[in-house]
Amino acid sequence: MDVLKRNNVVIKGKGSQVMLFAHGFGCDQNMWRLIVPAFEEKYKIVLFDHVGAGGSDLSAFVPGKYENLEGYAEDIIEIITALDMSNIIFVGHSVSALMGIIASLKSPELFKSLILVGPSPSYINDGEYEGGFTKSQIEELLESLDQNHLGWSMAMAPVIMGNPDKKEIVEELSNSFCRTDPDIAKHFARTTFLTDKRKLLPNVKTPTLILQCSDDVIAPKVVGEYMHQQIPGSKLVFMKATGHCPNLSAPEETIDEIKNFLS
Amino acid sequence: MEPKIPIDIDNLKEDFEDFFENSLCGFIISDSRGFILKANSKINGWINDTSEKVKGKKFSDLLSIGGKIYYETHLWPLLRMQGFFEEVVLELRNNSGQKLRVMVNAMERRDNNGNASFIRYTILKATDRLQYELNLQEAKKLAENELIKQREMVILREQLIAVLGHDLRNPLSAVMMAGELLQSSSNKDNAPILATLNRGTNRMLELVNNIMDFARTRLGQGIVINKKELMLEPVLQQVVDEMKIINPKREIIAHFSITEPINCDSDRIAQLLSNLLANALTHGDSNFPVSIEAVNHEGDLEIAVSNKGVPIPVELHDYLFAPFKREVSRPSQHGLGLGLYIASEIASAHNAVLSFTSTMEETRFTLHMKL
Repeated sequence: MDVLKRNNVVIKGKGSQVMLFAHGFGCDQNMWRLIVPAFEEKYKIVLFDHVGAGGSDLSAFVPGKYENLEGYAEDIIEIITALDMSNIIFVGHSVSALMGIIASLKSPELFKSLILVGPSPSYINDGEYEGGFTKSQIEELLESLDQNHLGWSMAMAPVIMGNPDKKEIVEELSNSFCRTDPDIAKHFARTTFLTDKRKLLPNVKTPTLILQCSDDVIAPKVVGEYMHQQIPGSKLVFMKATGHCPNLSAPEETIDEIKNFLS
Repeated sequence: MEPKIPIDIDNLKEDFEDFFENSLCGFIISDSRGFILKANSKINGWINDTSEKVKGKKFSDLLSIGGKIYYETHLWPLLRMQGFFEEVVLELRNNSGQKLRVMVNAMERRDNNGNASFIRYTILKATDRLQYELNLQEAKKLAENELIKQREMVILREQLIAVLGHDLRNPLSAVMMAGELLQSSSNKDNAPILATLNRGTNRMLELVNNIMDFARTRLGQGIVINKKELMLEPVLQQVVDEMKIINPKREIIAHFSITEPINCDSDRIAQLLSNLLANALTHGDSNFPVSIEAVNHEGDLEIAVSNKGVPIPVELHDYLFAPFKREVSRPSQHGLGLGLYIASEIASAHNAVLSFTSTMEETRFTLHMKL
């Protein structure tokens, strides 16, 4: 199978040091559109879509493989290997941060550093640990997914199709962003929100930066602090940016923090 | 009673505050991060809250947990990237935890630099519409499950047919063998009875074989052929001879001119011919002979079986090679209607074509095979 096609891999940039950007749960590589231009001069940029998202090959979606994050992490290793790259800078948003950690533990030689944007090792509160959600909240989430009460489907097609005038714009939009097959979206949500990778954190050897937003309901501040405590030698930065997607809400601040860490 | 007309109709002006506050849909204005600056009475009614309390909350705080996560991971990024989203189904959660299904449109107002200034949300109650949608989804799920169940049933039935056909063959061979033994030892008076027995068992064997082939093709195994080069004429002649024995009152005219060995599965070609002949003898006018011609020339083999009689009704032409077709115009005299289906399957397995013409003059089935 062509890994690069499967994951809709896009390569750009003028440098030789590789930066690989992994989008999180929801949407696709477009999530990095405001960040990537700032690094194109100096770095080689690798963008991709997780199988099931964006322009990936939906036929490659095997429920069993993607039942846990290891399946996704394997894909990341396969992409890096297929491109014959190593010593890369990994930038992962949301749940992809964990995929980066898993991949770095499996093939440490491939990774130079990990930049984790809004990461969380586990979303469910567990004793002392505060994940941000109670067990019953996550159960409610999974139930609402099953019953498809919400438009999780990203019956996004209609949303995007709603674009008023130009046909070519509709075409472009409907082919990108948050388009997801409803069943795959449900599956990915389940995989994401039932994940518990807290045990892995102390094993991380790769230099790590954690970017923690303020007021992020998906990955609250205490989670960022927990990650920082658990990952040896990690650097934690509290950002002014609010919400779960600083890459879209505060691109300048995000770029500055990444540049600080890399210099 | 006279309708009340406002006395001072000219002074009843639309004013924005009134429109915002008293509308049939909910309006929310938030800052660029989603913190609510203003919400109208509709929203407050749904949330059971006073305007003051809703103000300052995040828009996503008004949603059920699923909606909240959906908003943070899908909708908000979409707002940022696309500037708006439309027709998104979400659930508002009121103070006592009850959910209200709504349809939300939202847009981001941006300054000249493309930075978000604030976000406008338009929210419509959609419980009835979504109930309808849920019912549709439920019906779809039921239909899909039913389809799966039916498919499984069909496979089971076809397996049953295959097994039944197979199991019937053994006792049938025993009967046929017993018939042959009787023929050699019995006195001459029993000859007509034994001939009837022979005809009956042969026909049964043919039907059972067809059923098994049918089941096999339906179960996706197709007709298995085993090709070998051989002179085909003796094979065809034997089929004709057997048919003559079974149908002593009918005339079968055979004309063979096959000058080279043919690479084919001879048992299957014999079965094909046997099916075509049986078909011609059954449906043709019994006052006229049935003809069979088999010739090869310039790398082509043609085997044609023809008979006189009532032409095949036009409405049957499209289904002639389909399994289990029944004649509508005439009462079915014979079999399950599998003969022609199996014959055409044998033809395709040989990369050959089985076709027919049917006129007042004659009905003719032709097998055309490139060698």
